[in-house]
Amino acid sequence: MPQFQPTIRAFGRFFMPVAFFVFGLAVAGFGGTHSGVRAQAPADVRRPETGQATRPLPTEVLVILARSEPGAMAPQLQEIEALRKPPFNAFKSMEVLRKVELAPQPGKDATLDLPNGRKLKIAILERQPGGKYKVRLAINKPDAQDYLPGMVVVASPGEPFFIAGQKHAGGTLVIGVQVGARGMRR
Amino acid sequence: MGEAVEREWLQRLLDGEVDGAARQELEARLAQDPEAQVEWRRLVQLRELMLQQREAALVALDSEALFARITAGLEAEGAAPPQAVTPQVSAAGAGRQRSSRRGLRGWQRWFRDGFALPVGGAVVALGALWLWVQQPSATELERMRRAGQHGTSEYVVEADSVPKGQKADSDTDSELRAVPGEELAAASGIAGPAGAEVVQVEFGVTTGTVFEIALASGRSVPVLWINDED
Repeated sequence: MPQFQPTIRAFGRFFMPVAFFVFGLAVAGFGGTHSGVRAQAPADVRRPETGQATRPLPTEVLVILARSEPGAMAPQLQEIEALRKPPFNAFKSMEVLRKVELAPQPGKDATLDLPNGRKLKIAILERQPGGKYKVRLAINKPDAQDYLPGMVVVASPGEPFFIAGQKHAGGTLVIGVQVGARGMRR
Repeated sequence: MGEAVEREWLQRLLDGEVDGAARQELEARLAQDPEAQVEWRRLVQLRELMLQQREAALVALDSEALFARITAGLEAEGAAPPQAVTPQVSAAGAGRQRSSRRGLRGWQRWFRDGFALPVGGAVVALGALWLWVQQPSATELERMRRAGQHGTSEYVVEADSVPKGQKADSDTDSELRAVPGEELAAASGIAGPAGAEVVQVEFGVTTGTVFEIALASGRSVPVLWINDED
């Protein structure tokens, strides 16, 4: 109806600034959740670009065979305080089967053949801003998920943790892992 | 029957809304009641006037010319008012129409003089600035992103030295993935206490337990003990 045209035009003119404002909000919101974040993301949490050089993380692994029968305690284990406390103090003897230094890299796992035929696999997930490392470990037979499909540990450099319970040679395997520093201690 | 009711019945009779016995009764009363006849004539005259007014309005309405005037912007201040396009049934209605027309001219002047775009742009700029100020920091957004996503993988690792001594073989069978329950302290840059913590375990077909061995120093060492069924 022609008599309504002025009203429609006045309506449109009134809402033109409003439309600009809404458009501005949309642009600002989109920009704030996309380009701004990418530009300001901390460098240590950015994903590396393809082909970017990375350095390996020194990781020491101790493979210990613990037995309930009385016997000798390996001298190099006596300084590890955790092995003298429960549940490890139930074992009366311990010997070091392997002491290995691995070098896992981002995107490239490190593996270690264990005496019982399984493989220990260590992967670096990230280095956290506080200096800790997040690593993922798995212990399984080749092409199987029979023991430990996966575990994730966040550890400070030089702080050990243990995985124990595998049966081997009449004893129990205790695997100590320490990332970021050489020399198992405490 | 009161006067109002009488007029209502007459109006309904005039509009053809009364049929049958009621119509006959009403027509009989109208024939016998002089006052009702006077009222009836007034209603008929009023109806005729309204019909004439509507006809006049339709004749006077030149929609194409009016639209052309509007599009050409001829409704400047002081110009002759457009021809009536609707019947003005009361003074109050005419007043409202004039008031509306004045408001329209005001907006037209405002827009014609070039104020709309600068003011609109300023509003846009203020809105964008306000949103930019309200944006959370990159650290907060990264923390939210970490809390909401569990599919990230490789990250830059900066080790201080390349290991020496015995090295085991490496392969590329990587299953790098982040885990739920990631520590917000780490994501926010807070170092937190030194130590190690088991944050996720996939036991598979086995069962196990996570121990914490308390050391004399107050720190603790995590132990994952998994029963070996072989």
